[in-house]
Amino acid sequence: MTTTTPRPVGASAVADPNAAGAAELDRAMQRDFRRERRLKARDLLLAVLTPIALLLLWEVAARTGVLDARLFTPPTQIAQRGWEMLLSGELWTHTVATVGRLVTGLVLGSVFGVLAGLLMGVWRPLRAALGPTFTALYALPKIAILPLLLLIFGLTETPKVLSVAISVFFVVQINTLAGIVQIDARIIEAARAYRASGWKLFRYVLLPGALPSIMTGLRVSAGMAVIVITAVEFVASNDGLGYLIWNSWQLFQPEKMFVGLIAVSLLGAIATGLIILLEKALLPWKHAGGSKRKATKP
Amino acid sequence: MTQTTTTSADVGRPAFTTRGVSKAFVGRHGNVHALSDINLEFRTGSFTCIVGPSGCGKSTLLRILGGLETPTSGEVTDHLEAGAVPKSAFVFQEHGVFPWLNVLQNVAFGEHMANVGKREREEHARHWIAEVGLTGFEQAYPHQLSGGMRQRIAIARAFATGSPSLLMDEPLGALDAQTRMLMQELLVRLWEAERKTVVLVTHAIEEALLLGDQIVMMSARPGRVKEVIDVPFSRPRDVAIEGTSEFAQARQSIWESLRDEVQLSVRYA
Ligand SMILES: Nc1ncnc2c1ncn2[C@@H]1O[C@H](COP(=O)(O)OP(=O)(O)O)[C@@H](O)[C@H]1O
Ligand SMILES: [Mg+2]
Repeated sequence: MTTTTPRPVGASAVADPNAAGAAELDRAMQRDFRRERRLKARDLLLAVLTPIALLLLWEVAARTGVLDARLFTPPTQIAQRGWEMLLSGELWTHTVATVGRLVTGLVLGSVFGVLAGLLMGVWRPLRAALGPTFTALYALPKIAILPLLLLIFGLTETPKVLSVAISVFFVVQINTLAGIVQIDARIIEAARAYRASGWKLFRYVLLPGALPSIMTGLRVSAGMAVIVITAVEFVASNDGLGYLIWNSWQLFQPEKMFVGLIAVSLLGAIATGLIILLEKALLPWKHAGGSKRKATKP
Repeated sequence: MTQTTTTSADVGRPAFTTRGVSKAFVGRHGNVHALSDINLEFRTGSFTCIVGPSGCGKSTLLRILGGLETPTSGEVTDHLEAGAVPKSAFVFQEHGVFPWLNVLQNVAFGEHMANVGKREREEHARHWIAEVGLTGFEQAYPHQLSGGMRQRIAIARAFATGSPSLLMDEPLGALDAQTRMLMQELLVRLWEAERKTVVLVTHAIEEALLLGDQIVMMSARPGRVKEVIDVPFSRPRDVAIEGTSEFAQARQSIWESLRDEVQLSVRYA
């Protein structure tokens, strides 16, 4: 702890007490600033060191026989196999197949989800007509309808994309509707008092008011879409990262499986990251810095 | 500026007249009789303050004047001319500014909704942003500002809308005492320059005396007009009058008149 030197009272020991006080304050602020920077650097270091340490441990354990190397391929071998698959184009082919389905399904599902949610939010009869049914369908595990889709569309791309789109649709629709319904009644009253109506009410009040909730829906559904497409590709596909993982199990190629797992995780992280970027661009009023202070945590 | 201002010939003409206005809310937990037989006349270019115990229907009366609510019986007439902009511009206690619009967009909102062109409405908005002392914060979002600054956005928006009347519902109620005094001075100054018809609800007797030309005192629910008094202080006014003995006397007599009503409303609250 720092101690402040007692200031002589009444005496003119300090030539300019104001200047001395300012300098002291300046030093204290510098100290706080450096301390904060040190803590941040430490946090970052710890965050990076943990996975590296785990990987090292894995490598050592697999090589010394503590872990069964046939099941838990050492990380260096996984990396090597991943590099080979990348060069041969194998990894690329599977990734493209999965990304294509994922993006198509996500876009379809979110466009229709947002539209349905917004329409239900502003038009009460539609909400009354569809709300309960949609809520009931929301509870259904969407992957369970894959066999039905396969029955209808055969083993084509359509059932794969549709599985993703349907899962995304319900999450996005429910979040969009909730976003509109939850807008503060006092905000709506202020809008009405200033004669906002029709398109302008929608564009400048309802849509921005619902947007945070819509973005939450998109973020959640992106993570879910990756799960759904992987599961779909396990059973109903001859390409894609899900197929790669499933197939490596059947052929007992754990290093390939690990490559597939890593690729899928990266895909999920990238999808979520992109949506977070979109969120920051669309919601500047949530992210612009300001007087909102963060509480310092130990 | 193309703000609607009141010519001296208009002063004294009623801006709003209420005749036998009553309001009952039908609710799940029974009906609430909020207002009963309100007969008032608000003169054009006057500043009226409404005081009364909480829950006596002050906000309801204001919303009826502004057309946000219809009376259950009785009628409200207004003699305001406004063109495209709303006849009354509201200032709410809190949560009236849009968090997703920056200061400039918030202040320009009323004219935006009235289809005033972007250049013109932003010019008006900048003028009023300067009047309330927020120049430099045009691009800031409300959450980046203090409560007092957010209320100044709301006040600037009401003036910038160009409506001939302003309806304010406890606009300074959520502010700390010092900020509140500054904002009262601001309101006095802006109103004395513009002379719009203002109706302001407040729970502070001092505020009503400082700002108003007349004070409407309301009874506990169902709200009735208990008394209307003229404020004896001349204009231009400033907060210094709060130190005078006339002020203390006026405050005391208003409080005497309100005390029973407040007690009633507390008992049934
Ligand atoms: N929309 C509404 N629905 C039902 N009751 C309401 C509504 N608005 C106000 N009230 C009731 O009417 C009474 C008067 O409310 P209000 O005008 O807000 O009082 P004040 O502003 O004087 O505190 C209160 O009892 C309140 O609960
Ligand atoms: Mg009220």
